[in-house]
Amino acid sequence: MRYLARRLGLLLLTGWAALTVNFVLPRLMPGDPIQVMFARFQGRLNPAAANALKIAFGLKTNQSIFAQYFTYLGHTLTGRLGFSLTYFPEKVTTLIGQALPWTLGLVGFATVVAFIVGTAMGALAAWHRGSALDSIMVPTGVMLSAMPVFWIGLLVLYVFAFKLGWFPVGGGATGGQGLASVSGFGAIISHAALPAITLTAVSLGGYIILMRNTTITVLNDDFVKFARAKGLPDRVVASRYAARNAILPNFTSFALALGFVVAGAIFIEYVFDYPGIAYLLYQAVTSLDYPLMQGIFLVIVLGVLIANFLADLLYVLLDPRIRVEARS
Amino acid sequence: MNKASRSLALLASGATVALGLAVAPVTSASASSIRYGGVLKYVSSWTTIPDNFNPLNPAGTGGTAGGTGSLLYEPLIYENVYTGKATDLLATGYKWSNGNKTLTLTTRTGVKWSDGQPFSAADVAFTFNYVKKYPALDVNGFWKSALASVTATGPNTVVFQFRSPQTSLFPQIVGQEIVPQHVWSKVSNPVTFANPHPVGTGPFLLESYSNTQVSYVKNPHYWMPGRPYLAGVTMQAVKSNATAQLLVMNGAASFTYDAITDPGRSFVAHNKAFNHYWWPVTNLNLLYLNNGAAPFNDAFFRKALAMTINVNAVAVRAYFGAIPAASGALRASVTPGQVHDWVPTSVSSLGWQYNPSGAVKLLESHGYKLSGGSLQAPDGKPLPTFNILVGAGWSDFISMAQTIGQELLPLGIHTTVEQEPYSTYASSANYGRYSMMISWGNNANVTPYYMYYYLFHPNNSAPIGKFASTNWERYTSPAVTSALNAYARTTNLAIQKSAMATIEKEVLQNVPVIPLTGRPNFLDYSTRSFVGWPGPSNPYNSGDPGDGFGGGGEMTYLNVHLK
Amino acid sequence: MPPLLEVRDLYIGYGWDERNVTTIVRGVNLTVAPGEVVGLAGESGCGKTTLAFAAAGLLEPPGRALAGQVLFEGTNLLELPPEQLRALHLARISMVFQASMNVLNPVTRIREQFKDAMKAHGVGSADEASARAKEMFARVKLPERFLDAYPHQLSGGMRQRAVIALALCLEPKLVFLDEPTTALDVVVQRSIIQMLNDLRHDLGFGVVFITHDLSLLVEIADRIAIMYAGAIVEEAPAQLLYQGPEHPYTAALMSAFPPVGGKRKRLEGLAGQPPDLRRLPPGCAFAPRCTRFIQGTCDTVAPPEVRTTEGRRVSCHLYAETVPSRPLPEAGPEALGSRGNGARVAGQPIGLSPGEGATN
Ligand SMILES: Nc1ncnc2c1ncn2[C@@H]1O[C@H](COP(=O)(O)OP(=O)(O)O)[C@@H](O)[C@H]1O
Ligand SMILES: [Mg+2]
Repeated sequence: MRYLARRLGLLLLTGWAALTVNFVLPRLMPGDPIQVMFARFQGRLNPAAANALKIAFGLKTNQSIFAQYFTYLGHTLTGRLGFSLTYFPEKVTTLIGQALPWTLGLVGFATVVAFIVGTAMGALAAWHRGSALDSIMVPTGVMLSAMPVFWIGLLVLYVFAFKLGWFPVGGGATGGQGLASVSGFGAIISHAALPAITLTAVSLGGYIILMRNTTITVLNDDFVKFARAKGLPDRVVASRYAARNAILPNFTSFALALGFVVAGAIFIEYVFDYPGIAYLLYQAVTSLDYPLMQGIFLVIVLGVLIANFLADLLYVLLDPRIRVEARS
Repeated sequence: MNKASRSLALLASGATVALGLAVAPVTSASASSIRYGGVLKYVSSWTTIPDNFNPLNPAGTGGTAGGTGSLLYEPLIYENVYTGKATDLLATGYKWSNGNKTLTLTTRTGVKWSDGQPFSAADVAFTFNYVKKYPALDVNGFWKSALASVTATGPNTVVFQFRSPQTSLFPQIVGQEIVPQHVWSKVSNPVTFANPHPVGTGPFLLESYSNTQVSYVKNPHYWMPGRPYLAGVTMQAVKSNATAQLLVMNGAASFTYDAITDPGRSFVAHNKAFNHYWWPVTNLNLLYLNNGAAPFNDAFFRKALAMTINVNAVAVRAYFGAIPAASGALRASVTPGQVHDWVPTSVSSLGWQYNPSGAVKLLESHGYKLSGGSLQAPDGKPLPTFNILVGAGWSDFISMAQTIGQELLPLGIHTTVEQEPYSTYASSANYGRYSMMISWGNNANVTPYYMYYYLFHPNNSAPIGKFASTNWERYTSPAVTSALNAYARTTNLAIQKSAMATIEKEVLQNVPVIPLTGRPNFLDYSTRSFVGWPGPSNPYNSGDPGDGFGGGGEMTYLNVHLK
Repeated sequence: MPPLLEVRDLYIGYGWDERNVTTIVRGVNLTVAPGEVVGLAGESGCGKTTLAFAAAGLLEPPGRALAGQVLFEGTNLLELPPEQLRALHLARISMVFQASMNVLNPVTRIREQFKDAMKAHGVGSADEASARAKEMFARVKLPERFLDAYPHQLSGGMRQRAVIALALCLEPKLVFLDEPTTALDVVVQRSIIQMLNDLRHDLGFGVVFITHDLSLLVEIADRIAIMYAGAIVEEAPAQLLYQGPEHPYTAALMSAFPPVGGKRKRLEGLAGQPPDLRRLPPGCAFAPRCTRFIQGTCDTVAPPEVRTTEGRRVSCHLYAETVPSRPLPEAGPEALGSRGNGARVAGQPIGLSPGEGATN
């Protein structure tokens, strides 16, 4: 319980730090949002609009920095992240709410698949180490994890969408279609296929290598040898002894990867025109939409923190050795 | 050609001009050859299409769904900044009176809102008073100092009372998108109102919306006879300009708005029969010199720089010949469409010529010395290396800065290109923290006045270190200020012309900024299925983006039709 | 009565592929009679564990048997199909590993580790398995509640008792005890040895007891084999060995580990490092460290195995009839340094394992 409380405390502390950094950073940048907006319109916006926009965005530049900070904390904690500069009067929360499901669906799915498949393949390679299977899987894994996502994405896009025409070139779904209809659902799947395959491919390698290497270490551990000496069937030794222990470090990197879903998706969503939150972030950065950027950063940071927290909790369930430490 | 004759007529003092003779906008196709129907598709690199159809949204096109300003709602008069010509939309005539303190506008009869209610002058008065009630909507600053009241004095008559003569506000007033009183009077917060069921007077009606695609169908009761030709318009959001270009090239869409790099080679050449671009110049790219600090505070020094820079080379390097250099009369910081009516030949001949050796002599005559490839100030000290500030990653500006750097070497001036991210770049301009900077003119409009006003008027200025909204080069002069004020007060065309000529002369002599290239609109289209696009021979608009406010975009949708 | 275990001329090496094998165990012969305790002693790294794993049928890649046989109750374990071999493990042949942190699966409860073992050997019900586990815990004097503990919750000694309980739960006929007490402190070590002795009396299994502590073996073993560089250099009944070691290496080992209770003293005879098994010296592998080294013989010719007395054998030139059993007291460091390596020795016929032969 004390362990839990400590973890929770840490979560709150880091969460607060993230919020504060998120408050300070944009204020260190030169220019206020209105100036930024004018720069964005590159001479097309009537300079007389500055006053109107200040009122519209509710900018209170004459507030003290502390008052601003507490207003910000209050607003953030109650889910009020303000208006997007680019899509005014769209709220930042609305935009994030629209984009997040796409990303969670795509990257979440790809990460989980990569974790499961990669872990299984790594365990298999380790179990049959030295075999042809192993000698194919390891270099493939290394190559996959070393190649830039961007590059694989473009390659996949070129071959399967442009050349072969098997999949759509980009986007999340065909225009106008939603999840409501069957064809809409099919469109979502076919649009998600290439980015999902790409993402899975690039993250697969890491899991294969890590799982293979830890499994090989574990296979040399006495408890695996003793399991054999007990006359246990290979299947039991492989799963309940070797894999069950080797998966622990893989699991940690999986939990971390889940937290970095958004960060990892940026290139993919860009290459595949995918309407997710990473693309929204890219857009926010290029158009200097600070409130939107802040909101997305917040989501990313909280995602990482919460994923870490959950990983800690799950680790306690998976590894009894931590549990003791947890209790003491 | 009498490009600007219409606009001049509009501004003619005191006269009630009978308008609405030709109802339909200019088009070269004869009515019999036009095929009706077809759904025109516009693609653009939008992350998402906002679920917002509010034509009063202060964030403008960014915050509203494409089509709001160009398909659903209309302004009073469309003024073409490229030709200076006007097209009447919801207004049919106007008159200045009372020493230019009263503007009386006649509104069109027989127009219906898309919910069947009749449109009247009351809606116009309502819209302007609505903007007064919600200052966040007043993006043109109508009520800040200019307007005193707006009232509908009859079913077709609106009277604008000004506190003091300010005729220069005319393009903004007639460009205001008009909303129906019977709908908007019930809206509680028009700033954030998303207007999900738009009721407008425009040629199309909202059919369906998703955040990647929005579709419109023809408004069967649209007031303009025989228009629109199209059965519908679809706007699609794609995530990158490259995708948009691709969709136009393969026929999935008909047009987009994008500054394609080397469009002749990377776009037109793929299919010369179908792929076209029209990039009419409506603004300028300028080399801003910081007039507030030495050595750029000396007019002869600025002029010497101007004489040394070959703007043709700059334009070709930056735009591969797709956008013209700012040479000849454009050196007065005017756009090509303004030259004929606003720049007398006696003035344009005052401009400098490309003459690097003459520039060296000019500097030497003021005590500068060129020695060992470096320029020495009269005090004997060599000049420092200057930064040319551009936005980070803006490849056209970077090419320009590099070219300028090479051009200035014979003058013994050494420069480096400094890239700053957007916000830093903008604030460097506002606070005057630069020596040379490449940027655009602000809010260029139908006459040179607007660019000049934002470049040179003390209203937009501040000393170095203080915030200047648009007078980034920090050049002001009493003569220019009084000429600007004279223009803004009058409806007398002759007075306006002479005021502009005064400024042009001073600009050509003192060179506060150095115009480099034109800055156009970027219409890229395909004639695979649709024709009737605007172009040099038929400039019914200025190549506006398909989602633009103020009537320009609408002109495209009223003129394009099936092949 | 046939021997319980008979290892015949066994060669074992390590290597993932055939062309790259290091031979570790060289021509070992060893028998264990039912209920007999055979001790196996030698310095760390000499191949005791490798031999035990091979003899228990537990050798796995990169380990590989290069030649020889391992007969358990007359069946060659090296040729037995995996499924039959698996059935023998724990049920007939068991192994207790060196007491390390990690012999038990760290992430499951000990009861679970009893259950899966018994299930693998057809002990059907979970109740029966639990009952057996309980009984074994009583035998090794562990409180029953520790059955539901995780391994890390037990002390080193307790953990080793649990491992022993697990290894003996199906009453095997042959038990390999590979340094079962090495990592434990002396008091715990004593009590575990005592417990093992009692268990052996009750259950009557044969034992191969591996240690580098010769003095411990003298107390509990019936017979002792001494291993050096992968080969058995001397084998004798425990008492005889204790009374008179024949091989110089045995003698050196004995003085390194005096009988329990006696004073441990530093041993001058065991100076130097055990040889690199990949590059054994020609002749006798112990020769470079031997105090009774015969120049020209020990460094060139592999020593023959000599049966000196009934039930005793030793591999040493000192006991061969053809060479004078004359020690060379002068063999000092200079002499050691001047000794050549295998490259200089022509036509050396002995000591080459089949594995090494294959490389040539
Ligand atoms: N898995 C393995 N792969 C390669 N060499 C090994 C392996 N296991 C043991 N060895 C080598 O075999 C030799 C004997 O080791 P081992 O049988 O553990 O000796 P002991 O049990 O006598 O200490 C050592 O040199 C060791 O390095
Ligand atoms: Mg060992």
